[in-house]
Amino acid sequence: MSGRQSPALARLRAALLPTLSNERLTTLDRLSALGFPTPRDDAYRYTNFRVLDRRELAPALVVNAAQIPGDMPVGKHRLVFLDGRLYAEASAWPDSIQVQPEEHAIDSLSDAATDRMLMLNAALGNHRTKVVIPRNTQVSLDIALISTVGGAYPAISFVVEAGAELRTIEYQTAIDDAESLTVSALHFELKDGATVDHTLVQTSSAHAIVVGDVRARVGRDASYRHRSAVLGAQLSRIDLNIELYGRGASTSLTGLFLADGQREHHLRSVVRHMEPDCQSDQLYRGVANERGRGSYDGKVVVDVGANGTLSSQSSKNLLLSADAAIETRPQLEINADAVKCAHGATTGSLDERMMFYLLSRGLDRDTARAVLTYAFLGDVLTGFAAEARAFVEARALGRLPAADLIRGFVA
Amino acid sequence: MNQIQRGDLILDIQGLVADVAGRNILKGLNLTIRAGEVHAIMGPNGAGKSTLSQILAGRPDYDIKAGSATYLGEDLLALAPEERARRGVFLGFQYPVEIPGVNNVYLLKAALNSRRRQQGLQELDAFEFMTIVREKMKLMKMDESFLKRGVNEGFSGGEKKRNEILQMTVLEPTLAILDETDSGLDIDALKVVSTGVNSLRRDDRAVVLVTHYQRLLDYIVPDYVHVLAGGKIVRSGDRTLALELEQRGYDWLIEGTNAA
Repeated sequence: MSGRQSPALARLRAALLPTLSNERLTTLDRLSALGFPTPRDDAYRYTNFRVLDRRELAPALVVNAAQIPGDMPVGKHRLVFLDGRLYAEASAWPDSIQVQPEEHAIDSLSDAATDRMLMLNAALGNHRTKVVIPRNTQVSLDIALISTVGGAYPAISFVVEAGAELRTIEYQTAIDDAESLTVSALHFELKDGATVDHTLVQTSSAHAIVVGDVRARVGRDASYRHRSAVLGAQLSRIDLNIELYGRGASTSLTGLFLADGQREHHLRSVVRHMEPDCQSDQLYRGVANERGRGSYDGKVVVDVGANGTLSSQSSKNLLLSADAAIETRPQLEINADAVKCAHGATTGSLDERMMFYLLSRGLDRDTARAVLTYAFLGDVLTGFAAEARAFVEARALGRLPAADLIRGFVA
Repeated sequence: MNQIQRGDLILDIQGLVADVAGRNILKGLNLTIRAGEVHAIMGPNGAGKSTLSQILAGRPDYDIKAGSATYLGEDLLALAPEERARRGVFLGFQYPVEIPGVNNVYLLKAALNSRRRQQGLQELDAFEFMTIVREKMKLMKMDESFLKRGVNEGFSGGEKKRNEILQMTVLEPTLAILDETDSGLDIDALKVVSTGVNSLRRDDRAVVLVTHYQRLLDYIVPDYVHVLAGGKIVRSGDRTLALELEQRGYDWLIEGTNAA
């Protein structure tokens, strides 16, 4: 804990004093006393949010009636958030589900009370949108988080009742070339036998800072799946907190990032196996070029008595330039017997043998590099649903050298 | 580009000296290959056979200390690997690398079109290309599923070698260098691979077979056989040399070199 007061938060407090409820003010004061997270906090070892002290954090006062970007393949049923607020005119959902605002209180969430980015979301967010997916129903509901300027603090909490299935693709973007900040909180409560398939595609503009706090509590035989493709923003972080609290619960977390220019992309995950026979699998691929940076910091905790745990973590990273850097730290904390936990992490440059093979077949160097980089992401990309995959491919390809030459190369 | 005639000089290597990681492997190698010829280069393990193949294809980890390699009148060693490939030099790898996620057929198409651009020919459209590939796959007794897979991804040893020869037959190189293509093949696969190589034999092309065993030469009959030992060609002859090597091994030749 740095203990140093944040000047940005002090300014913000003064400006918002008349409008904030006591509860929000308390949260803001707690955060203010703590300061923004820095690498001195183990949970933020690779991410420094001191940069937020120089940002405008207040939410935009007027919500611009911005359009959903035309190329965003958001589905018929969707929740659209503009600068953090639910934009009902652009949203639509099936009659079978309940969507309602609720007061935003963080104390109902385990550990959330100690996370400072979540405090920021709770103190400054509009309200939380609660979505209830009734028992044994199947729902597709996409999410568009669109930011323009200033701070945006969208919060959604899903309750997925027993046996229900939710499929959601979350498109997160900052559309103006402004220094926007988005801190989102998406929380999922999965009752027995529920399944959630959550894809996050982040394509924000170059000066945006984007933080996504994702929490899932996964009940008996329920399954939470998260896939992420992080392509945009100046600085991004995904925080995944998954609690497998019911016997036989499972989670699968996969993702890729592309950090070129001076971008920074970080991912932290904490997966807790609380009951026997739960399974968690993680597969992450990162690419950094130029002066890009990134990290994977993944922790799996197996509680006492959580026998029969299966867990795997794989983090492979590719550095395309000498100035790029990616850190990776898979961690295991095992307090039970009869568990199978595997982890592997590598960071390196392109495989010279593969390069030579492609060159020896007549491909030029740029094409060969682009093809191998793209193929490196293939393990993760193949898991995306078709519409999200096409959207990601179009954007990821466009950022690689020789983009037009390599379409179609991926197996 | 002038038409290549039988007997034209394809590759002329003079006094080639090369190191790998500070160790001297090739020690003044001479070799002349003309259009229409099939050469077999044999020799004991560690003689420098693979080094020679890799150097000719342009692998960067080798230090050329002296000598020259002239390919169709050009300094081969000054060309980047991709430029060599486009001019018709093909290396069939001893250990083809697996490249998961890179589609086999797209690589083949890109390879063929890069060669055709160099030759001043129009790129093939998907239909023309697939017609050629299907025909060559039939020759190589390969299943259509190969096309959809990643390059060598999950292929058995034999499948990898077949894939190399498929690439070769599609690319129709002027100089094909096949590095131990026969190693790890059963007799049926060996026959298929040989059919592929023999289909390439023409007056305007040359083939170099690098091999440890005589067996391959029963199916692809060479015009010349060379023994590479201690970084040099120590003996050249016709096919009967290969048979003699099978009988007597390599020791008598290596001892001969040392004595000389």
